[in-house]
Amino acid sequence: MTGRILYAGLELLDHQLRDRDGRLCGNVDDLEVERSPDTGELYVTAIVAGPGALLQRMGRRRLGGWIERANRLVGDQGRDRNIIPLALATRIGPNIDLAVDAEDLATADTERWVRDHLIGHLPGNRHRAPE
Amino acid sequence: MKRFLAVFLGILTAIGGFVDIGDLVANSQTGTRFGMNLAWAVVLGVIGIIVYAEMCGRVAALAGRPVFDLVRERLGPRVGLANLLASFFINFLTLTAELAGVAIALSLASSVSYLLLIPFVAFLVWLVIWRMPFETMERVFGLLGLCLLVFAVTVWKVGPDWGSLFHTASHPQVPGTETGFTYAYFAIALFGAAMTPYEVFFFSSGAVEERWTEKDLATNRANVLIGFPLGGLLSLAIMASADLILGPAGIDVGQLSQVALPVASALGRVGLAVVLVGIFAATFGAALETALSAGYIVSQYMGWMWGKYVRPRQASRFHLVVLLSIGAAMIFGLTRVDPVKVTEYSIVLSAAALPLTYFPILVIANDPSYMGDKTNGRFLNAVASIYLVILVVLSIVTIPLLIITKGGTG
Repeated sequence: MTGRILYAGLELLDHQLRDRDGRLCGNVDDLEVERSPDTGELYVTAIVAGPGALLQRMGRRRLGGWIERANRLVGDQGRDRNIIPLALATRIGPNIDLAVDAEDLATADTERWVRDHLIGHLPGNRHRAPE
Repeated sequence: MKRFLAVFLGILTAIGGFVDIGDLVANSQTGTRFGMNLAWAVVLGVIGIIVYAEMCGRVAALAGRPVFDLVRERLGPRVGLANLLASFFINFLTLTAELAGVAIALSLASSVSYLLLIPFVAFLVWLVIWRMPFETMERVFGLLGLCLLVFAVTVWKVGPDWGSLFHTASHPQVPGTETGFTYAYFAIALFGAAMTPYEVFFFSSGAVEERWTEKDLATNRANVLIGFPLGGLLSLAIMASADLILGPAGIDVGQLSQVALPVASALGRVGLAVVLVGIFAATFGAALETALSAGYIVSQYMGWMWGKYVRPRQASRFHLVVLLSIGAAMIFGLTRVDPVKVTEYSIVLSAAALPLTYFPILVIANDPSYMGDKTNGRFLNAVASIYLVILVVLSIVTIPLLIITKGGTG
């Protein structure tokens, strides 16, 4: 995946993320970019996913910052699970496939909360419609 | 048989869009007030929804992306959010009206007050979404909705002068009793009903739910070419039967119960029973369509797991949005809002938001990185662009017209 030229705004931003099992696990809400010290060109190094990042990109810096901090309190303090290194992307197309488990991403936090506290208590929540 | 059953996604989408509670009344009303002079607006709408639904079905089959994904991708998060809020609000109004509509249809058959039935209906809608497989759902309600074909039987039974009916439809003019403003207002209401955004939200998400791939492109074409013209036919049949029976009797339609009158007078009790089943299925189908669309568009904007093809616990945020929408719509419905007025306004308001939904579909359907060699042809692009211009014009004139005509009454 190194060195591919992409129109980041068109081909990455706001695209759907899928985990290694094809589960939908957030959108590309923002990107981390670094300037190469040799050539001075910009490289996308990571995908940022989560409502906090999205709000910051939309100019709501303070609100976005609060949400990010709240997210960090709930999750693993040590690392920023919001940030997904681009090296983990196995395919970049209409959907972006990641070599990760959806449950390990920050975007799964609210899903887990809603499941554990609300939807998981309703009868039939494990039921799957037959094909 | 399997091919036959495969078109019910299109049929349910179309029935829920064309002949839900507001449209049932609006079609009858147009028939009594304008005769067949507004039939062209339905035809224009049918062609428009065919063009755009085919595109979004094709995108869903080839790229696996439903409409609201495209909205955010091509319009960006800000404009996408504005569209999300507008579409969600319109969708919520429609859902409220449909819950009341189903309750009214049941109360006509049972003479229990419709207000008492609203919570029961809301629960039933949720239960179907929670438990019933997607394909069973579209077949059951699509098939029952076909009972509305009894309106076509009514028109045939009355035995009208087909020549003059067709002549009025093909040489439309503003009747002497109406103004140009009310004529334009009802034209937009009919056109807007055909192209309501929740149809493409539901249709494209349904295509993803059914796991369409490139092999299903023929199914996609069959769905749009059978479903939407059928919806248009129902719409025109309701209009014609009202024109032939209610117009001469001097009845102006304002409620759902009056919609069934032409059928009852031409076909008696059996006809009435069939039409009530049809109205029940169409409004229930529209309630399912709008409740699911609420969950679809929020989840797709946010990138959440969504859909009925996974266990509810795996798409818990999606199911929460659906559940809360149904609950809030139920409460709003219990305040005795007039469901007919609510849908009529929601259709007209949605005309103002339409370009923001249809424009991204057109852009993506031309993008080879999504579509490979299955991008739009020139002719399709020309037609779709004309419709986009119409939609933009409508989005500007609709709200002033709503005010000038006081919602079509003045």
